[in-house]
Amino acid sequence: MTVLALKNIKKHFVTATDWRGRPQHVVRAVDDVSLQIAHKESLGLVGESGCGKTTLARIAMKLIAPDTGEIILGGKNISLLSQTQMRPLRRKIQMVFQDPFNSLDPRFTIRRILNEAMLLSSLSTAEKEGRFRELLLAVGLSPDILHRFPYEFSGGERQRIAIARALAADPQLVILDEAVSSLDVLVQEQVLNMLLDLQQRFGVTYFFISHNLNVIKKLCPQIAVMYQGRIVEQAYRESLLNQPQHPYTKNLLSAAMSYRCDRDFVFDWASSKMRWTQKTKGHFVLE
Amino acid sequence: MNKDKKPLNQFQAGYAVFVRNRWAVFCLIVLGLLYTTAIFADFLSPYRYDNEDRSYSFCPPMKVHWKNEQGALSRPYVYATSFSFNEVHRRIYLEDKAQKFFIRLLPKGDSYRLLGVIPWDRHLFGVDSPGRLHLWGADSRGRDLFSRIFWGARISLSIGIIGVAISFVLGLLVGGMAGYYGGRVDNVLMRICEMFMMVPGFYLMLALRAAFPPHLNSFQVYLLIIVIFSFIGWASLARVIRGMSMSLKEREYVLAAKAMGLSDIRIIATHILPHTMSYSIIAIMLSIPGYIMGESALSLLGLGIQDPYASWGNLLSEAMGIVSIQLAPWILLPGFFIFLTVICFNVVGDALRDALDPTLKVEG
Repeated sequence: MTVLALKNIKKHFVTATDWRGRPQHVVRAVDDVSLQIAHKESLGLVGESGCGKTTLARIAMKLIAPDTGEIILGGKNISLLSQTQMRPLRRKIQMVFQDPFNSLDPRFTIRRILNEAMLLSSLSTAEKEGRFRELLLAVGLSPDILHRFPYEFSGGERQRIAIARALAADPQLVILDEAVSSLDVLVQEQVLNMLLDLQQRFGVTYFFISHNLNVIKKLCPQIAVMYQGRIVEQAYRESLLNQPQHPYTKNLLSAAMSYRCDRDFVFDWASSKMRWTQKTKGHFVLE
Repeated sequence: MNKDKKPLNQFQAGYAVFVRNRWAVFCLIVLGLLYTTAIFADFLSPYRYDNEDRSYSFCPPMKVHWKNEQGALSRPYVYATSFSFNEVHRRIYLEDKAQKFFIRLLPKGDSYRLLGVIPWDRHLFGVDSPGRLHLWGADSRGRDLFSRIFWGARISLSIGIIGVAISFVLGLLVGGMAGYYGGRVDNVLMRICEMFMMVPGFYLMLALRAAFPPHLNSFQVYLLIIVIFSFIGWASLARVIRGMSMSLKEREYVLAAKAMGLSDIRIIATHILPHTMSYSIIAIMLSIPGYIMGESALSLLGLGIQDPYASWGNLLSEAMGIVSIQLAPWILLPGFFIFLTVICFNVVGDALRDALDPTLKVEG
């Protein structure tokens, strides 16, 4: 079953015009992209900065209108719907943004943030309260934080709140646009594990967008590689990682390089008051 | 410092900066006092605004005596006043030492409704009739200037607040929509704004006043003035708010709200306009003086509030002739109050800008 299908999406931005208003310079942000995301088969989209990933995500969310192409959500063509017609369908597809410091309104409490996501639901106030607690527990936060403000939380915690908000509307598909890129590696790991967990629990499908292949391969069984506005390669994870075909993909994989050291680190470890040991030559560890 | 202390939000931090500015706090207190006197004008002033006694025309400020004839301390009192004519038939007022009137608390006087509800006829202080108390002198018709300044404060000060409130609702609404929708909506709304900004404010005000019938009752004139000022004032605010909402709509939480299916009006009201609040508060403070001055100008020209009602502007209109200023300089006092109010609003507004506008502060 296909959750979301994009067909021949094209979006060009005119960045310069001449005096008659004719385009002089055009950025082909998304150039004839087709994608399919099946239920519970999360798709990862990898590509360098500026290759059109975010534009594609926003087109899929109908936050930007594509120049041409069709967006098919749950079998229904939504590309021609107006914003008003779109509103009841919005809850099926949610998004987590890159910057957790910017994606939560600093003036809203956590309760208000979550409540906003459930505005269209028919639950009573008490039921909503129960759902908030359930969501916060699911993303690994205490349900007692409902009255607090986003600035009281760290980046990782905020991103969890953003994920809870995305799940609040009970969506079929969650688009994660560089959702873990601004977090440090350990927190990234925790959030990724949590996302895998949530996928099982809530039966959501992810469309995961990142420049980091390591993050994508952990979460997504299918991977598409985007380069200069086009999808250049798409395959199942194992196949793509073991036999990359397109030169850009090969480049991307080999960029995760290994290091060789041919110098000795100089450290007067004998005179230190701490208990240092030298494991190999020029490599010191505190006991 | 206590480490568990929550980080201050913008307004709490702003408060800390504001109270450090002693001068601004002082001005804020002065404004508070002015508004309090305006609210309780009927109780605080010894006479009603239209209580006149022609035998006191241009009576100079009366001297309050604290010592009796023997030089001993006594309750404060004023002497009765009598007048004679000089060689050009101007009145010369003299203290009639034969008769004195003690200033007492809570004497009976003109009746009024306290706060518009409680009927009462006692005033904070005054003298018993037939004596009259003119602390700051009297005007041409023998009305007490002290009382009339207090009554006038009601009109002059409230026009600023109400006018600003209306034009801000308009400005926020138009600016918010123009910035958020952009494109054609923005274009049309901003061109309308520019039409208002293009005409010099004072002439637009005169033209608008002229467009309405000259004989309206005072309350209608009052409303009309407020409407005219709001009509002129909203455009410049709308332009600034439009710029801010254009940048705010690119924030990710606005996109998130859109993605959740919130209506545009709701997004503007909850995610965009509240973030322009610190600017709006500053702009409100700094634009109130304009309204007060505008009302004064209109009333000074006789197009605003009409006699016998008092506003600071029409009190000043009596001071337009050089002769009256020369003979009765105390009728310039309302001008001092306009000056005081305007200065205070400007100082407070400036201090608020320092306190609330984070772009002027060095991060650290």
